[in-house]
Amino acid sequence: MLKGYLLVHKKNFVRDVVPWVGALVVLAFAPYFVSASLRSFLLFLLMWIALSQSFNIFTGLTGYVNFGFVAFYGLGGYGMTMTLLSLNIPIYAAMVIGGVISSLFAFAISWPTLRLRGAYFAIAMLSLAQALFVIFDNWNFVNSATGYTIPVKYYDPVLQYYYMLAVAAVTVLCLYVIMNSRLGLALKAIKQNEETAVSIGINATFYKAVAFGISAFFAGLAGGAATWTITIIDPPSAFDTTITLTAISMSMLGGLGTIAGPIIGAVILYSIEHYFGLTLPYLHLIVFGIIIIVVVLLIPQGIMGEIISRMKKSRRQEVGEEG
Amino acid sequence: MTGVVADNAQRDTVLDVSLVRKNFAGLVALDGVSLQLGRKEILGLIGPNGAGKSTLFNIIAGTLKPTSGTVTFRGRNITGLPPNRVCRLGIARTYQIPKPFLDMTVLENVYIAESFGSGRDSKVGTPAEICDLVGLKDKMHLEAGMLNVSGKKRLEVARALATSPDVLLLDEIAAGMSPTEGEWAVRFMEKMSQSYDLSIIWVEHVMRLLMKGVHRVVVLDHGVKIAEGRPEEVVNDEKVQQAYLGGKLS
Repeated sequence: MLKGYLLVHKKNFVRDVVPWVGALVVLAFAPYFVSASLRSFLLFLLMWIALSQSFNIFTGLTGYVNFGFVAFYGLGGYGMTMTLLSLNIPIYAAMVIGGVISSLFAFAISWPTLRLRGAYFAIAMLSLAQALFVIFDNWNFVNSATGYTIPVKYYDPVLQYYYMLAVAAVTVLCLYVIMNSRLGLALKAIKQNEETAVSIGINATFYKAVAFGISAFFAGLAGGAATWTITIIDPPSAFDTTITLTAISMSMLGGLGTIAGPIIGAVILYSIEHYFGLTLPYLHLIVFGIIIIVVVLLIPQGIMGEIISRMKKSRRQEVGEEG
Repeated sequence: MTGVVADNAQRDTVLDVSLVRKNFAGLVALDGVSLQLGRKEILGLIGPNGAGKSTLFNIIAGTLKPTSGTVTFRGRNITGLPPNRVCRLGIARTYQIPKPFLDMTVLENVYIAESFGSGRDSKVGTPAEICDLVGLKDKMHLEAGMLNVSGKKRLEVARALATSPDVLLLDEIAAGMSPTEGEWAVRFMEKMSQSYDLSIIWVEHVMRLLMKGVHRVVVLDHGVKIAEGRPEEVVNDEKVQQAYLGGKLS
């Protein structure tokens, strides 16, 4: 739908498609070749890719920083677990229901929260996620503080790996589709200047809510797949603010609003976490903190954002020399 | 000649602002202002600082809701509709302080306005043609943030035109332009109005220019309409001179 002249760079099949398909093929065959511990590492890496990318779908495309992101993850996890335990349906159906519940929650809260901007939106979302934690911790309907355990009969590490791979791949694909759609165009305008966007006929309230709902859906799917793998879910693990902060760190480091950015960020930060998690637990949080400070100071647009703006700059110089 | 156009315009009203009042926490910004905009008419809206011109623009465009009064567009009550709905119906605006999408190119700015906008087929042209019309052809692929003030003002006009409006609200587009560019703006708006069936309300402080470009003038002062008529009548009006200069010209 977009006309050719709008693209920052020309479409290049080898450069744009081959690396993605290649990575997907490698990851698809990995369980046959790697050890169980490396497979487990890859599984959680894929979870972080899915989470940082679903975070990116809303925050990266609209510029609204969602500090309550973990609410979507937790609701997806609870939704999946509770439907799996009460209805006798396949795991993937339970995961989709978890995603839908998370998405419906996002639509419900979008009306009051998306009227807020900047720090006010961030604080409102942070409080909402905290409120969910307190509610779930005290609500008998969701088994309050005890939470749930996934029965052993569902245990299947290889299948869990493939589900997580599918969630991550679909999330990345969805981001790509959004960025090249009318929705992506509207969000781009809203991110840069919401007032102007509205003045040229863009229904900002609607498009923001749609992005919010899609972001929640994929975070919910990832939450469902993660809960299945971890096998237990309780309020402190489902609504852990560290999950929000990690998703923010990963997508900021890699570059919000880009497709490759959050993936690069997830690979770097989750590798660090994994390394220190075995030797010096929780030291990774200090390392995360230092990295974020450095990123904010030196490359506020993240790794990919920096690369893209340098490419633009050099292209502009070329144009300048020609003219 | 201008008189004939003005008289015709009265009979074919596109936009009807009726008894609009706006209070800001006790301050009366607009106190029952009415005006009519005819088809293909260019209406000048003038008044000293704080007269309520921008407030009136914001009410017509939907950014502000009036305390009372109505805005009717082509017979339809649009009072209090959100700005995006107002734009879709066919009323476009420019901002006094340009608000482009800074990191996008000029062409992308215009393209987005065209692809959302009023949702009708572009009556002015493709985004590239619109850039050419407003004199930004050479700068089409520059990022909007790199334009100078005059360029940004032209981009405001291009973006508004790209939404295919029936009514255009121009907020001080000639401020920041050179006198020659200002002359161009006047001729350009006359041409746009005639060629594309466009009715225009034009706020401008560069009075000499505005008086050349408009068919009719409405003067606001302290939220009240103090005069209305053909430019040459209005400048000789005692109340207008009082508002602007504090006394009658002798």
